[in-house]
Amino acid sequence: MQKTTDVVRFKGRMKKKRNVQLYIGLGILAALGLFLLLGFIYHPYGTTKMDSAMKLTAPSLQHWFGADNYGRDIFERVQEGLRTSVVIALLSTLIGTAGGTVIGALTGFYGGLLDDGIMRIIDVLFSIPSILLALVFVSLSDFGMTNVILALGIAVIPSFAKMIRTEFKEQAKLEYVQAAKLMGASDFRILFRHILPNVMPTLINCMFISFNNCVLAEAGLSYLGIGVQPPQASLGGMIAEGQGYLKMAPHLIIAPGVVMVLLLLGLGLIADGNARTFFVAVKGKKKE
Amino acid sequence: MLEVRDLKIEFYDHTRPEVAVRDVDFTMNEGEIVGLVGESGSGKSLTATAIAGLIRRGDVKISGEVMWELSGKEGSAGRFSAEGGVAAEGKIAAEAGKEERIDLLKASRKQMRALQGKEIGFIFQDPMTAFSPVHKIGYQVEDALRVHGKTAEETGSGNENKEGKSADYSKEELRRCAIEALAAADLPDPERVYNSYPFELSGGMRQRAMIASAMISSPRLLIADEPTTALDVTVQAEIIKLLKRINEEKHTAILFISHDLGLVRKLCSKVLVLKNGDVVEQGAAGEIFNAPKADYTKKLIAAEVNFEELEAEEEAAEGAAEKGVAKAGTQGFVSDDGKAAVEGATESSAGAARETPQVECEVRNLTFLYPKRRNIGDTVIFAKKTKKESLPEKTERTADADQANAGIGIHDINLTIHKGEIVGLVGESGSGKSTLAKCIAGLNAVKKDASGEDQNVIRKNRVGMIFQDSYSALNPKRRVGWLLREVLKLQGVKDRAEQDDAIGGILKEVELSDELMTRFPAELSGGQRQRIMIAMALLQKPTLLIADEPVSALDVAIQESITKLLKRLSRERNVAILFISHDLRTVYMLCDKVCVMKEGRIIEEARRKELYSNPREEYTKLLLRSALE
Repeated sequence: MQKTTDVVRFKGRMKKKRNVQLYIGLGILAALGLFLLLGFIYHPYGTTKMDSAMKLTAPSLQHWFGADNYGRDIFERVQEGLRTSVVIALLSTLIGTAGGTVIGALTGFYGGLLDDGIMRIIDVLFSIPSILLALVFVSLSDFGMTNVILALGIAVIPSFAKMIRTEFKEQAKLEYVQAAKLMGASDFRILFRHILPNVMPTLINCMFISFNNCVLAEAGLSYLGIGVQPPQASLGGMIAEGQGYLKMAPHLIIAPGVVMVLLLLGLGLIADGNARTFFVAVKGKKKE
Repeated sequence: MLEVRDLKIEFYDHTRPEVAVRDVDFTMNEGEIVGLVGESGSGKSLTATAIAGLIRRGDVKISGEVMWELSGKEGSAGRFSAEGGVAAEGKIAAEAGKEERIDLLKASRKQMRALQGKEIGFIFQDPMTAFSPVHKIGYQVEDALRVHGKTAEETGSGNENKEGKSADYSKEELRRCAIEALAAADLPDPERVYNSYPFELSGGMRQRAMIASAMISSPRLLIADEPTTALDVTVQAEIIKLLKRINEEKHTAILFISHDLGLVRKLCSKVLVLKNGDVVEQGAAGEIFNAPKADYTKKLIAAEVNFEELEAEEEAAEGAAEKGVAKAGTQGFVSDDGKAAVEGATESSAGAARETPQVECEVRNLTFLYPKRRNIGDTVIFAKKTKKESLPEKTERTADADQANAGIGIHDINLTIHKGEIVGLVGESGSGKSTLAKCIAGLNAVKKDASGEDQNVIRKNRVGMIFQDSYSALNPKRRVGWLLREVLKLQGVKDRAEQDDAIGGILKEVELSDELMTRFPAELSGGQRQRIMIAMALLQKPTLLIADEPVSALDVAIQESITKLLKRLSRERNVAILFISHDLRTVYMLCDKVCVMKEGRIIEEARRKELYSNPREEYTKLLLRSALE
């Protein structure tokens, strides 16, 4: 009975102490969300409408974040850029997660030749920077958002596969897997119903990291001019465009830059918060 | 020498109860052995680590006093107090003045470091993790000397070199001292051990090396935190003897922490019983064991199996007629053994045929060898042993050339389990018990014979398995309800109401309430988890249950209840159980037939009574002696 009360107390405290980082991160993301929502209500200019009279004007009441070299409203363009970046990062992360989890699970669980073979391929892929990989992919196919998503998604698969493989390998050694085997569970069931929940914490953290990387990679691609094609705005693209006017009109870069930093910071804090609760749970388990 | 007053340890960490240890009061005299007894989580280790100054201050809040009498120049004061007892010690301390004693809890990091390893030695529970795996044993053993350097006293007493002043040891001296210390810890061939890495030694040897490293600077206090828990019984007894000898020869005080009352009884002169951080009872060992006052102590002592009593009970229950049956049964099972078949048939074929019940599982000439370098090629997941088991075995291999040639695994196993029978499988770790269990359960792919014989293991039905470590054997991320339901789902029971019925029934049978259904395994106690595992195994409706050290990780009182549960279930459901254990006491309580394994072979099998009263093999005798003495 002593045990019971301890557990209840443990849970209660967990909730109370659930970390500050998580809340700050969530707060930042909520602010960005509001910022996006504002775009649906307030869009007097449109993202492509140019106004030559307003070229490179500093932030004012009219243009909250100023106007760019074509006289477009930066406020609205940042909103669009944020949307683009988030969509791209989210979808490519999902592709990476799905692919990486399947590959990682199979190689980690079965090992042997399958593991050796696939892992060597992945090692080769690893030796090429993922942005280069995406670059090759995009230039081989075509520019545009879909291809960027695909390219980034494929480029992040190796890192997912590696992480997930290690986790599955560790888990497969544990006796609950053997117990499930004895119960007559199929391998598929063991992999995805028994082991996967134990891998989730790592997987989620990987997803956060990968999301951040994808935001940056997309910015990089746009910066190189092979990402999302103009006039569609993306955070990276806007920074690339504003670069030429850095001394004259720094606000061209400041707005998209700040939004990108906030996005990454918010997600990073949430990921960290998640990691922490996970860690605490694990520690509690081991100590008992 | 050491006085602990109102020691209280609180946790800031929110994963644990707030107060872990409260109001611990005791004194230790020079040369005294004090036992700290209690179940896991009772705060034994915390108390010890607090005394040794090994608790990170940030995690906990420690209050109270731990007064340590400095030996200093008047080293004789401490020696003297050993004879004078508690009262005398107080007087001496008062006479000597306050600067003679320091409060270890308030001592600065520097002060503590001067004491740690020099005045206070510490032996950890797990000798594997307590040694750095990348440094040689010798280096780690002499480390205490390297850190503390020479002092006047030490050079005078410990070494031939009598410089009489503080200085560093030379390499040669260090080496000599370390080898001396290793030899003093009864390690054979200390030179070789000196140059070995921890993983090259067996568990017992590592623990000896650990003791050597703690004793090298002749500390006045040796704290031994469950020093024998991770070891096999035969080794356990030797380590205990060694500790006792050290205590007698060097007059070192020992704070001995254990959950094993038997060991404490053998070793300690004074005992503290802890429960949930409270001292339930303390006093001289004789008093506590002969006339325990607290209910909890009584319970603990009662849980210890008394063999004479058990035997008397059995005798009364069975009677002479039963004995005859058991004897015939023994012959019956011998006749299943291929080689003995002829003899059995000629001698008492009729009797054997009558007495032999239905065969549940038969193992014939089973040989299963692990690939030699399995530590490197980790690729075959299920042909791997758990880490804990593989390590000592490997070291035995290096220690024993014969075994290296024989290969690792199990050889030529013949075993028959009859319906409803409880068979005990006894042996030290690394003897192949678990390997055999996994072969029988079908988790190890059984090697086919050269002649192409299909299988060495004949199973009649489903096999349920209960694992030793209920942490890793229950999926930590799934709730108990899910786990139980999953078993049923895999058996094709799709209907939720039907599942609930079955689960309710099984939980009642393993004596658990169904409110545990929503818990995660980590939120259960060790005994509860083990019961859940039994429930999961039973839901598969097995006719053979393999229990691989199901109670080894549990506390004595819980051990007993789990064994009783297993026995009852076996009788009620007519389930055969292969019960694997290194604990001969538990096996005695539970099993009908006992097989003794050593180095991958079954060296003796006999009816329980026969084995315990009249063991044939030397090894069995040794095992029995060290377990029962």
